[in-house]
Amino acid sequence: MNERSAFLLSLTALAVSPACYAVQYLSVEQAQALMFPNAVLTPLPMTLTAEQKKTIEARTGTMVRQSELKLWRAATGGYFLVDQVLGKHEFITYAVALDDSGAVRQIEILDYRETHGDEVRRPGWRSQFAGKTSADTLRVNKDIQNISGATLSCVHITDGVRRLLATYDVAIRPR
Amino acid sequence: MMSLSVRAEAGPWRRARPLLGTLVEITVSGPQPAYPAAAFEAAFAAIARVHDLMSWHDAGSDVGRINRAASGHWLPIDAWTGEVLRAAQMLFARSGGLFDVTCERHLRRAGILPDALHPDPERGGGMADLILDEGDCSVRLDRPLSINLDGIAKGYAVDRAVAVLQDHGVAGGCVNAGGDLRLFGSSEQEVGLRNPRRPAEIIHLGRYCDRAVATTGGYFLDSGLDVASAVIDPASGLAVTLPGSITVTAPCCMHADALTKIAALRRPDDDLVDSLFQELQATVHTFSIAGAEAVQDDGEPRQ
Repeated sequence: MNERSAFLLSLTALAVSPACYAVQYLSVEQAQALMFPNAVLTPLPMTLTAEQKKTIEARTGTMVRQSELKLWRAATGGYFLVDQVLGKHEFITYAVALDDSGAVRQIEILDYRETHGDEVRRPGWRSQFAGKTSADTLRVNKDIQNISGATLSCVHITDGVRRLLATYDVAIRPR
Repeated sequence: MMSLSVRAEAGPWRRARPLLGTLVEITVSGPQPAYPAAAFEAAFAAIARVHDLMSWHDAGSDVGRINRAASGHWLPIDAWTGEVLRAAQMLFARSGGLFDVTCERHLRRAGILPDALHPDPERGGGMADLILDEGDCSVRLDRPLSINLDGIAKGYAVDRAVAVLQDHGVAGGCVNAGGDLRLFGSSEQEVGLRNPRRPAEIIHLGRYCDRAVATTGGYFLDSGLDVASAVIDPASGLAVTLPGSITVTAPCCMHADALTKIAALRRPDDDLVDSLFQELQATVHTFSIAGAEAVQDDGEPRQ
């Protein structure tokens, strides 16, 4: 063993996998069962008005892309929301459980996909995943499940949660 | 118990939550007698606990309290923080000072951390001024100083989560905190690496079993700042320019995480660092960028 034996010396041409990486962690139904065990969840259809959107955007400095809320009310108290955020390379769907006071109780990532280029910003590319619950369509890269790499910031999710909390305040909170 | 529309004996199951400023992903390989909800919950709770103890942004965390403490008094800290500080002291000594958690002032100067959040930008004490008691449960500062554990705590959190999963009877899986990961169990698993040039592209790194893999690189910082990397050279106080990305594998993720910083700063033929890597059973993969292709090499310039 020479002193550099701890270092890999191979110079290799590396296989590169297809450019899209995607994982589905939980379906909407699975997230509901985990975040509100044994509770009946009732959809609460709600559309933000232009004025409400403006208020939320001004309060949080984020953009409200969707006027339609994916919102459920739990019979045991609290709310379940599904939302999406868009980063430079990634598109993330996540669920938030709020308690009756509007405080965050739990956040779960539902699915995560990334790609290079601007694909992720095209509505067509994103919509192919929207509302999908079948894992099959999402297993884009079955071989490599564990990815190392410099840290991906969760700043978009943090911003998304702030936007949802403002949304709760402006539109959902019972008055 | 909660009911999920997945078969109990199936698997693997994966969950992800935003923690430690990144996405933390936990994979439990099947089979399990039931959906491992309690194991997931406890593992995420362990990671959240590390976050709460070692967050630089939170004035009430152990790190926040150390960074505001006067010198000369013993300050009680959690045993987990003590364990990380003890490891940081060892890595500082055994790397000839290349791994230095008191480099926080440099991170602020380089714009990686916001200056405004800190009350006293000139807490100039170094590692020699950070005294741990024998039980690693309290700390004393011989001079005021400030620390940042971001270069080691993420790996430690991964190790804690793996221990919790194993305590819950989970035989195998993976905990991945935003790219610093540890595989456990008897099955080999494939690990991919983000292409340093195209972060969304995945390179095959290799197949591993019971191993931690951590990577450092300038991309995906997403901070809006034009910095070379989040690795600071303690000698110059400047962020180092990385040739691409550096990946370290080791049995424990805390070591793999911290060793990426040492690997980024090491000079060729540094016997001290070589012996540290050998002792911690660590290997280094450097991915430099040649054109659009990522090339794996040993970090030495090529002819």
